[in-house]
This record gives sequence, structure tokens and C-alpha cells, in this order.
Amino acid sequence: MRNADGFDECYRSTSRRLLSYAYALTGDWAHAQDLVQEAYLKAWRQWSRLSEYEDVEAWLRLVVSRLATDAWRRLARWRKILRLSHPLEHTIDGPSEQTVLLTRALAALPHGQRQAIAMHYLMDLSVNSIAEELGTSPNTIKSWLSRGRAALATALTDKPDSPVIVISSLGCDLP
Amino acid sequence: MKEFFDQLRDEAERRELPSPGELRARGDRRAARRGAAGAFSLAVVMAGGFIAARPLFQEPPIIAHGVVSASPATPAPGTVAVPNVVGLSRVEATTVLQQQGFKVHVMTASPPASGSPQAGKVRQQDPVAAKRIPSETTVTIWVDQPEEVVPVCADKYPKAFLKSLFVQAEVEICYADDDPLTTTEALPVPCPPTILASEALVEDRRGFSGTFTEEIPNSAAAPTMLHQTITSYKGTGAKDYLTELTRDVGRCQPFKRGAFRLTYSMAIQTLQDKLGDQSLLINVEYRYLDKPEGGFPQAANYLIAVVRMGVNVIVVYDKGWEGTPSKRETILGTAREMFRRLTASPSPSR
Repeated sequence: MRNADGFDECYRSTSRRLLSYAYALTGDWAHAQDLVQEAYLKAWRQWSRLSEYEDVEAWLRLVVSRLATDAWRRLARWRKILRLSHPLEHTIDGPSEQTVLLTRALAALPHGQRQAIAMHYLMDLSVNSIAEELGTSPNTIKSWLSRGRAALATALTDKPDSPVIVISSLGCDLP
Repeated sequence: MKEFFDQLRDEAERRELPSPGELRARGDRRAARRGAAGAFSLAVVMAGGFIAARPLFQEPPIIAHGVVSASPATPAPGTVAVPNVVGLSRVEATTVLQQQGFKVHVMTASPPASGSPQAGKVRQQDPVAAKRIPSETTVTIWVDQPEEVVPVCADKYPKAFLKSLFVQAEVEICYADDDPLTTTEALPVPCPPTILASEALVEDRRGFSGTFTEEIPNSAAAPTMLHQTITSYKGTGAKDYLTELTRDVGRCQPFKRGAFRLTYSMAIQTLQDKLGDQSLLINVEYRYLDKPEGGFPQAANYLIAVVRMGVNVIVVYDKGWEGTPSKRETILGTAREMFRRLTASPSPSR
């Protein structure tokens, strides 16, 4: 029996962060919204098992990461079909100038750097956590973050900011 | 730099996401729809495969919903009488309600009445007309939609194999689609466009794609995808199929398919345990012709397990995930399980 309350709580506490993460990877809000919903749909289907996980958010993040680069799933077609049955009217203002700048700058980064930067700034993950999740060494992540920050700073006409601030992931509070 | 990300977070807070309850309900409806027997109604080409799927994202007949949210044009204090929008078109109704400062939630009513004069009109609203409610409240409208004409899988197989014979059967595969955009297949085709002689002896064929979860050491579990097919043949067709496959895999040159160059070869590994009357393990390399997009590897190798059991042939074709092949055990385990189910089934096709 799946615990709907646990799922709802997880969704409420993580979906917005996951959405910002998906946006950082894709640079498209509609696409990011689709990815996040798809990730939670998958999660709900397997919730009886997933709810045993210590960090469901990591699983969701992985699904979003994979869907974000999932050319083979032809998400464009998927979205087209989705729009047929779910006509959305975008009434929310477009992204701010800052976000547009950030999106462009992120898009110019190599995929690994972009992912590491997004995980750090938007998911508040530590270097070690990012390294574990991306299957690489902490030193590589430090290098990616450093290069990524430098590239972003240049693109945003900003200076690289302070060293990594480690904030542990909130994760999902599971019963 | 941090302020840029803070801004992004703020924007994420304002973006529309369904409530968790809506999402769960949609997931449950999708599961129910997947589980329902019946004809295809919406083609979804996924994974570049020849797939015509049941409508993953089209809502079921009872309630299909799309969401239209609008911030109130002029937030009015106090309460406002809800206007009567029944009989108006979706656009008209949405406009009228938004002008009154209401948010609008559009549901697609059913049954869809193709050609009905009411098609596209609001059938019902909640709250009802004249009821006074705060202006920013959401008003739900149900719109009659004409039944969409959706592609139907054109293959002619009876598809009598039970769905329960497949492991993680999610999206039904259509074997007739020759969409030129597709880049992968559900069955090995080492010598296109050659049609195997054994195809003439095919009696029935059914298949599903399924998403599996694999445990990754020191990491979270990861999804992956397999295509599963069962084919029954007349006469010596099943045996001929494996003979032809063996012949063609070693005979034909790599060929271009979509963005890839495909190279078929016999896998070095073999099925460890004897499975069925005859079995093959084929390797296929998908190599991007150009620089791959989105961090995909330039090339990836996928396994295809082929198991013959009398006149039936099971094919498990690995599709991996994002260029990462499935684990060998996932593929072979699925083939074994399908074999077990087929063996245990007294009447697999009825």
C-alpha cells in the first residue's frame, strides 16, 4: 500500500527545488515542468519501494537529470502530445533578465559542470554528495565547480563568489 | 552569482505545478489506462522505437483535464457572483471568468461526442452560476471535446499473447510503424531492408517496452528500458528465424539508421544457462554519426536476447537509458522470466 501522505509531503518539500534544477539543465520552464511531473509520476508508481529510500530526492534528481538529456525519448513529441490533451496557457511572466542571462551562461557550460553547478546552487548539495551522485571524485567536482563558477562569473560580469557552502540536502522525510 | 540562482529559485516558486493529489491521480489513471485492454488510441513514438502507445498523457474518458490558470486581471475585494459560462466555448468562458478575476481550471468532459453540437462548449461549471465567491477563487469548467482522431497501430497481428507474459509491460509496441524518424527497433534487423523469409510464417506478435530500475553500487537506483517481444510462428518459422538471424548478423555491414550507424554482431558472451530450445545473444552498437547531443556517449552497445521455445520466440532488446546500456542481468533476467511465464502459461495466447 502506497503512503499518499508521505508522497505528498515529499512532493511539497522537493518539487520546487527539483523544478529549478530541471530548469538549470534545460533552460526551458515548460520542459522543466514536464520533466519534474514525469519524475514524480514515476516516483508515485514505485512509491511503496521508494519510500524506503533514505534520500528519495536523489532518485528524483537522477530521473530528472536523465530525462533532461533524453533525446531518445523524444520529449518534444511527448510535449506535443501532452499539449494536445492538456492545453496550457502560459500566463506567467517570462523569465527575468537575470534568469535569461543565467540560462545562457549555464547552457554554455559543459554538461558535467552545468549539472554540478545546478546541484550545488539549487539543490544545496555538498561536493562529496555531488561527486557520489555523478560517480566521480570530489576533486573533479571541485574543479568543475571552480571552472563553472569562473565561466558563469565572466558571463554574468560578476566575480566568482565564495567557496562552496555545504548545506545538507533536505531530502524527503519518510515515515 | 548567488543572487542569480536565488532569482531562479524564486521563479521556480511561481511556476505552475499540479498539486500532489492531482499528480497521484494522474499517475493512477495512467497506470489504469496502461493496464486496460483495448485498442490503441494515441500514437506515441518513444525511444525512437516503433511504438504506438496507449495515450500516456491523454486522460481517460471519464475526466481528462488540462489546466488553464490565470491570475486575476483585476483582483477585486470581497466576493463576486460567478457568471454563467455554460454553453460558451472554452476560450469565451475562460475570458469571461478571468475578466471577473477568477482563476480557471479547465477539465475535458466525457464522453467525447464527436460531431456533437456541444463539442468544444462548456457543459458544466463549479461553482455554479450566480454563487458569490472570492474573486481569486478557481472556477472549474468542463468542456465537451470532440473525440480526437488519433493514429492507430497498423500492424495486423492478433496480439493474443497475454500482457502478463511480459515483465514490466508499459507501452505496447506497434510493429507496423515505419516512421523514418525512428532510429531504433524492437526486433533485431541486421540487414535492412531485407525482410526475413520467416516473417511470412509469423502467426502472432506482441510486445511492450518497460522501464526497469537497476541498483547502481554507491549510487541511487537508475532507470533503464527494455523492449520485449513474443512472436509465434507457423511451421518451422521460429527455427528459421533464429537461423536467419544468425546468418545475417555475420553477413551484413554496418548501416545508417537515423542519427546512428548500427553494427550487429554476435555477443561474445553466451547465455550461461540453457534457455529454451535455442537461444542467441546479439550485440548491436549504436554509434552517433555526428557529435552526440546532451552528453550522450559517441557509441553504446546493447544486448539482444533471443530465445526460442517451440514455435514461440522471445526477444528482449535492450534500449538502455541515455546511452547507458542496461545491465546484462537485467536483460537476461527478463528473458528468463518471460520464458518462465510462457512455459508456465497453459495457453499463452488465449
